[in-house]
Amino acid sequence: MRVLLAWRNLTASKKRLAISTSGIVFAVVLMFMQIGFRNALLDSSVEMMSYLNGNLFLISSTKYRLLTNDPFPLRRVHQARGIPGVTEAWPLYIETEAAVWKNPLERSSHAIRVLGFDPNDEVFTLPVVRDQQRVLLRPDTVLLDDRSRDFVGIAPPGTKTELTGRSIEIVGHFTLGADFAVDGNLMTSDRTFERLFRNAHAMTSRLALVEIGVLRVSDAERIVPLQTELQKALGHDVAVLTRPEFMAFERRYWEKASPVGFVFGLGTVVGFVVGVMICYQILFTDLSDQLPQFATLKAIGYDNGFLRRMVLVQSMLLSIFGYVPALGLSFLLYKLISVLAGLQMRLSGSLIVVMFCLTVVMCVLSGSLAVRKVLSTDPAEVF
Amino acid sequence: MNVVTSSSQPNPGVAKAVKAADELVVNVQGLNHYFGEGENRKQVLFNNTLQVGPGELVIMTGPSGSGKTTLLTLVGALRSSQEGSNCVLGKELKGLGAKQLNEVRRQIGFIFQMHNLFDSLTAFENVKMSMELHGHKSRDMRREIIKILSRLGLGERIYYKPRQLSGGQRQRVAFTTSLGSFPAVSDSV
Repeated sequence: MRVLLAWRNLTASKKRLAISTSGIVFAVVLMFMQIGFRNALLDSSVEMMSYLNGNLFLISSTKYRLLTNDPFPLRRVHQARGIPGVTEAWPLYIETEAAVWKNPLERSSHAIRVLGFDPNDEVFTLPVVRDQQRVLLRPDTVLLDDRSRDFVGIAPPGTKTELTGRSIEIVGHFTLGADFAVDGNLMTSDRTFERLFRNAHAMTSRLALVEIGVLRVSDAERIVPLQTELQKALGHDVAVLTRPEFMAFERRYWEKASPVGFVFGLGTVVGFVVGVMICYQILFTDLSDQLPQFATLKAIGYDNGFLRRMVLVQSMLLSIFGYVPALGLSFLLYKLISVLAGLQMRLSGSLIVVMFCLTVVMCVLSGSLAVRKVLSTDPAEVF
Repeated sequence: MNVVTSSSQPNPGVAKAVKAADELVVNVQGLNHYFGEGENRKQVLFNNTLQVGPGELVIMTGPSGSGKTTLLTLVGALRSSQEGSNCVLGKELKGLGAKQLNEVRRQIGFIFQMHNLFDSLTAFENVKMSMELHGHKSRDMRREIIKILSRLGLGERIYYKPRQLSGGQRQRVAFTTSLGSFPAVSDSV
């Protein structure tokens, strides 16, 4: 009977139900957006790493995030290649600070990330890169990320433009995607990279300093012992990381050190609190309107446990009513933001489950606050 | 405050005779009640005595503020008794906790002036709310509710919601609700 009463209380007025549901939808969509942005931030920051064709990775031991230039000597990569169990060791060069790209369509200038590697090496797992990378052996050629932001200018292969003041030709596309710090990506050969970013005053080649060392090992089962062995052999100016560690390293920066991760985390909490307040207001008003009826129930012998369970059921029903349309709306918004902003807004199964649980908790918490009004009702007052 | 009693028993004289305490449904002796605390404490019942036997119909009259409602809420186990004896259905209510008072209330039928029916439930469901409390079997309960509502002239409106009923019809539904417990005592205000 408590389920029936809860259901009827909620659905008695269609207009009121629509208003109540829209309040929950607003709060849930707000949380979906905040968590979606946060996840997009974290996922997109490690997207490039996920396409590296390695089991172990070398980075400077003082590096604190991928985006910052903090290279280590190339000889460490050569050293690693000599360690038994390491089958391949490839250097990957990255430039984000000095790379200025001229939009080939509008001629405006923008910062861009340039990834340099030997086109004979299989540094990336992306098939489209593998198919085209040998074209990069031609000097002053680049592959352009077709998921770069629109203002980068996604020109077709064969288009010529400028990169850091040097004439360059787009010879193909690949798909990687922008993130919160990078608007677009280019891939080029190590030789073109050297020509583009060589410091005229420096005594050494730009290629003598590597951003990431990509290592392949012969036995994937022995990664951890090999990691220890490599760390011991290479010294402390480089850190040897497994893929999960490498990704966690970057995620940790955005989650803990960067204010951006905190802001979206806070946004989620604010969404939850707003949801609790909206839901509380809805339930409180609904229960207050029926106080004489609840007092009557108490007068005829229903105990507080019944009333608590009834409000709990009503809260849970409200959470379901609100969650279903909120999920649909969030799905559309995720799609829209992915297209418009180039962010990878993924509506994963785990996110759907987590958000449903958060919505139920939000409504049940509100219900447990609102029910106090009913519990404090004096049955003698109905006289 | 005046109390008028009548009996539905074959021999009305029985009601007027002094009954043994264990025969009484309501036996109130020297009941005092106060509202407020400290300097604001005000006595509203003064050494009240009331005895109601089985089958008796009791009508209580008196000016506003004379304590009719307070006495009824005490007899109905809606409030805790403070001083004196308040024995209902053979059980002394003075000193009982909220849970025990709740148990006593389940044996009492209430009809409230404002009906207090749930607008979202039909007449049938409102009555069912009361009957379910007493663990009646679902099939018997359904038959019983329909029977009582039909006898009260609501046979055509069993599945109507309160706002679709007239004031009198609502009052009859509320009356049926009070019978849901097949009560030993019925309070009506």
